[in-house]
Amino acid sequence: MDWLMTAAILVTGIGGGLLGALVGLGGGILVVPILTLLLGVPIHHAIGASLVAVAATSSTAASTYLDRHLTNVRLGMTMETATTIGGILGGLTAALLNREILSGIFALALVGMGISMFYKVKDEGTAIALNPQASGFMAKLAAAYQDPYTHQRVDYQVRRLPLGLGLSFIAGNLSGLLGIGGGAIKVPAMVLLMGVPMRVASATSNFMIGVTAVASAYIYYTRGFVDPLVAGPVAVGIFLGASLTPRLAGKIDSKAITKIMAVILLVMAVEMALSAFGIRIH
Amino acid sequence: MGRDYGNRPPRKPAVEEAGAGPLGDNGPLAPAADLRLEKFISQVLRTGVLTCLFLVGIGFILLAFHPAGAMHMVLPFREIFPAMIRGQGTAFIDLGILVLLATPLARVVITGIGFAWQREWPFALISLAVLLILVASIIIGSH
Repeated sequence: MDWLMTAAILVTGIGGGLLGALVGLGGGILVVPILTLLLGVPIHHAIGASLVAVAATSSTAASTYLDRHLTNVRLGMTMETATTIGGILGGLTAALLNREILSGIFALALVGMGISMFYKVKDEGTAIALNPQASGFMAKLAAAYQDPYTHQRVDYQVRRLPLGLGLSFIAGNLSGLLGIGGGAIKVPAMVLLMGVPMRVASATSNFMIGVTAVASAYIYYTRGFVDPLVAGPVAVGIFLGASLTPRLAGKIDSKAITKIMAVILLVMAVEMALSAFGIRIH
Repeated sequence: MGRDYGNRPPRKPAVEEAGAGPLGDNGPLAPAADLRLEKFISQVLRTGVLTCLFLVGIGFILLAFHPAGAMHMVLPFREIFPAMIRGQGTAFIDLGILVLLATPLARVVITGIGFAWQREWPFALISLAVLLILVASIIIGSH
């Protein structure tokens, strides 16, 4: 039993959970490269652990959002049909890929995330154009919530569901392939394309992520890629880190953090890309 | 702006129970059945995560006493409980991880039952589809 390693994994989880939650990412995007590059955990085990941790943080956050009545459960459930199928295929693909190729794909994802952090979707209520033609199934996806800050009731309807399902499938695929939540795709898709208000989008995304993560986690689990001595401390760490975030959120300049995160992601991308070619800096 | 309730006593809007604060003039945000279901799902999710953290915590405490029992693979399901009785730390962590992985599955089942209860058949069917996909992922994975 290597306690130093366990402590290092726990600290990695806390840091990943803290930073990830501050900028609205699941934490997996930071934890996987740190585990593989600094702690020498095989990438498949790092992704397996990350998926388990994503299930923990997503369930915790989803629980809070449900209490505030921000989640659109019907929309979430509908989009889950696509994310879970994507998740399974991603998990199966990852099991077939070797360490180098998986590191390379992860490096590309880090670059994408890093760039998108500079152009982050504004965390403000978006004006929603109501679509009076909605009928049948689409009418049932319409809902209302009360904005926690303005105390105003916001009614909204959902548009372009097929497009949303397609993007959910891709998000699920990335989740299964790389052990990240996929919220970075789902939230902008819901806000920019489907007319879902920002708060509802992030609440509903969190609601979905847990199910998406376990769809691929079962594959990692049954293939023997879940190491309890890695997944256990990562899950506890990310949970603790994400729980600490609300205490810090008001005291920190979130714009600066977002920029710093973007730089961190790009640096990690370079290291992951190098490791894909067998070059290690540490 | 108060609403005229006639002779009936003003009914407390269901949404206040969900902690959403004061309402506008448009009535509750969602049917009471929806709000109850959301509350229940929320409790299930929280219970699952806390149970997992508790089991993982116990697991590491046991490992501090018997570090030799550390395993780098999750035990097969039927071996987990006998190993827990033997006081093997990693078996507790294994069960914690399984509880965590079962929590979203339970959430899908409960949401589906909730929709069926409300006779929202399209969404009950969608929940069933998600459940079947998750079961398929367990079956596909083990082959």
